[in-house]
Amino acid sequence: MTTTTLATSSNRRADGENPATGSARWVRIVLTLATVAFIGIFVVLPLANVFAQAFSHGVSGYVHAFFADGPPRGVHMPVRERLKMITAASQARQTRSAIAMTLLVGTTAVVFNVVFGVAAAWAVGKFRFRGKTLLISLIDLPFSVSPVVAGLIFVLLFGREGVFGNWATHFKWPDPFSIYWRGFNGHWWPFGDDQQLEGIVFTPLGIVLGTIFVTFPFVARSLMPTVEAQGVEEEQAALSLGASGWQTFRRVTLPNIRWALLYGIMLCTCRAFGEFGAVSVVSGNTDANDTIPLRVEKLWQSYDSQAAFALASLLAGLALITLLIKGVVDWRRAATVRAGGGGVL
Amino acid sequence: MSVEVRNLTKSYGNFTAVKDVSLVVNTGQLVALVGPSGSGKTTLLRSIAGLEQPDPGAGTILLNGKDVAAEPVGRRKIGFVFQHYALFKHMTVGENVAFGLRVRPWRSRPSRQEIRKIVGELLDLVQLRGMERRYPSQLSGGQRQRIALARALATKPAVLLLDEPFGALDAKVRRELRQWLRQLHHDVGVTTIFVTHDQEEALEVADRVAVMNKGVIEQIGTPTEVYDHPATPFVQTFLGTVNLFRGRIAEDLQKSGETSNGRDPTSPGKATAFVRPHDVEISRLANGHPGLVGEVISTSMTGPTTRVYLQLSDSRELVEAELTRNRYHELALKIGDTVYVSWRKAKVFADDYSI
Repeated sequence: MTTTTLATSSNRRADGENPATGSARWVRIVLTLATVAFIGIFVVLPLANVFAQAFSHGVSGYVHAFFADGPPRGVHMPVRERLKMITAASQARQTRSAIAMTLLVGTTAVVFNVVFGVAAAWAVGKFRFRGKTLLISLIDLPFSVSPVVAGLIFVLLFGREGVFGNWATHFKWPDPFSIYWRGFNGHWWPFGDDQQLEGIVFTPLGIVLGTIFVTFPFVARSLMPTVEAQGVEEEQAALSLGASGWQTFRRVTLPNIRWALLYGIMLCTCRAFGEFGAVSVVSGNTDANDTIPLRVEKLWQSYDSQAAFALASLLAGLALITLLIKGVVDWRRAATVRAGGGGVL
Repeated sequence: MSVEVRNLTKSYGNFTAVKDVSLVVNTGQLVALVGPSGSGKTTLLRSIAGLEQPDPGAGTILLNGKDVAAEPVGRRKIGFVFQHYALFKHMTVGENVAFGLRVRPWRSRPSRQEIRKIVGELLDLVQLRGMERRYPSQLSGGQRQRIALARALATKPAVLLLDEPFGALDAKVRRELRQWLRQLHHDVGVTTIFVTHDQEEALEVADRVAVMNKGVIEQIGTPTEVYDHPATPFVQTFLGTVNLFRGRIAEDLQKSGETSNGRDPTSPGKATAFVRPHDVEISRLANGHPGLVGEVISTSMTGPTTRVYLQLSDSRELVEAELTRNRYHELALKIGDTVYVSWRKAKVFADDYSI
C-alpha cells in the first residue's frame, strides 16, 4: 500500500487499526486521498498546464516567444507576413527586456533584504531592548498589507503630488542598463553611464522599492528562530578567545545560520521575481518598466496566450528549482546533523 | 596573574545580582565561588571576564593590579569556560581548540604547523588525543567539557574562569573530572576561579572557597576554615547538612534545645545551635549528661556511614545523625527505639538571622 503519509510513524497493528487512537484504516485512506486530490487539483494540474500551454506550439514556438527574428533584408514577402515578423521580433525583445528587468530588480531587492534580514534577526535574536515586540510586528507588516496598497504608498510618497514629490520627481540617477566601465583615468569612480533616469516611481528604482517592501520579512523571518535558538554563548566564547566582531560573525554566527539564510534567500527570490501588485502600481504601466509578471499579464491581455505561458514557465521553473534546492538543503542538513556537524535549523 | 575585585555592584533593572563585592585571588590560586542559584556567583565571574559590565561607577576589576574596565573580553587574557561549553558545533574538535590561535592578527599568529602542534599538546593534556576530527556532538559531556577547557587554554590565558564546569555531568564523571581539574591546575598553575552550586565540589577542589548568598560574599577562606569555622549561619547550613537546635544561650548549651524550644520565643538570649550530622552522638543510656530524648524513625546506609533520622520527643523536630558503621552496629538501633541525643561540637549563632 502506498498511502504512507499517515501510516509510517504510527505503531499500528497489521490490520491497519491504530490501537491508541482507534482510527480505522478507511479514515487514513480517505484523508490521504483527499490530500492527494486537493494538491493534484490546485497545485499539480495548474503547474502542468503552464508547461503544456507554453509548449503548445512545440519547442520552436517556445523559443520563438523569447527570440524572434525580424524580416530578412532584401527578401520579398507579403506586407502582412512582414508586419507579423516585425511585431513578433519586437514582442520577443520586450519579453527579454522584462526578464532582464526582473533579474536586476529581484537581485537588488534580495541583496538588500539579506543585509537587512541578517541585521534584524541579529538585533531581535541576540539583544533585549525596548520596543522589540513592536519591531517584530513592523517586520511582519508587509505580510498583512496588500501589495497594491504597498505600491500605492510609494506613489503617494514619491509621486508628483506625493509628500516628497518635489524632490523625488527631480531625483536623477544613472540608468543601470547604461552603466559601463571607464577605468580610473582621472576619475575616482570607475563607472560611467550614458543615460540618466529621473524620478523614483515609474522607474526601475520605484520597482525595487516596491519589491523590497513586499519581500521585506522573508529573510528576517526565516532567520529569527534560528538566531534566537542559537543564543549568545558561542559568540561570547569566540570573543573571549580574542576574535573580532567580524571574525565572530563570519566564523561562528554565519555558519550556524547558513541553512536558514539559504532558505530565506530562496523564498525572498521567488517572491521578488514573482511580485505583481506593488510592481504594477509603481511601474507606471510603461513597456520599459515591465517585469516578468507584468509582461505575462500584457501578453495574456493581447491574446498571445502561448507566449504568456512560455514566460510564466520561467517563474514556474524557478519555483521548481527552489523546491529542489530546499529538498537538497533539508537532506544535507539532516546528513550533517547525522554526521554530528552543526547547522541545526 | 592576580585578580582583584573592589566594591563591585551589578544590577539588572531592579534586581541587584552582586552587591558591593570585594575579592582578591592571588596568582596561581584555585578559588571556588559557591552559593545557591541566584546568589550572584556567575554574574561576578562574568564581570571579571568582561562579559558583563558592572554598574557605572560601581566597582573596579584589577587584573595583575591593572584596571581593566576599558578592556574588552578578548583583551583581558582570560580563558572562559561556559556552563554548556559553547563549543562551535560546526567545527571539529581540532578547529575548536585552534580557534583562539587562528583568529589572531597574522603578525602574532603561529604557523599552521605550530598550531597543529599546540592543538596536539592540548589534546594530550585533556587526554583526548586523536579526537581532532570529531565534531562536538559526537563527544560525551565529559569530553566536551575537557575540549572547552583545552580551547580556553590554547590562548595561554593568565586567568581561567569556569562557570559551573561540571554542572551538566553525571555524578561519576563529575567526581573524576574534579580530581582531574585539581591535577590540571597543579600542572598548569594558572590562576583559576570556578563557579559551582555544589558545596562538596567547592570544598574538594578549591584552595580557597568564597561562599556567596544574595549577591554578597559571606565568607572567604580555605575549605577547612569555612567548613569548621563558618562565619554566618548561612555558610554553616549551605556547606553540608546541619541540624538546628533552637534554644536560649543559657547555663548549658547541651541543654538549650531541651529547655526552651519554642516555649519562650521572646527571650533575649534566643539562639540556634548548628550541629553537623557527624557530630551528633547517640547513646542508649542517659549516661549522666543532660541530653535530648529522641525516637529512631529511619536509617539508611550510604556507603561507609549510616544515617539515622530521629525525632525529638519534646519538639517533634527531626535530627539527622551520621554514624560510622561500627558505631551503628554497636548500638544495634531499630526503628522505634528511644535514644539519647547529644553532640560533640556545635556552632551557636544568636538568632538575628532567619533561615
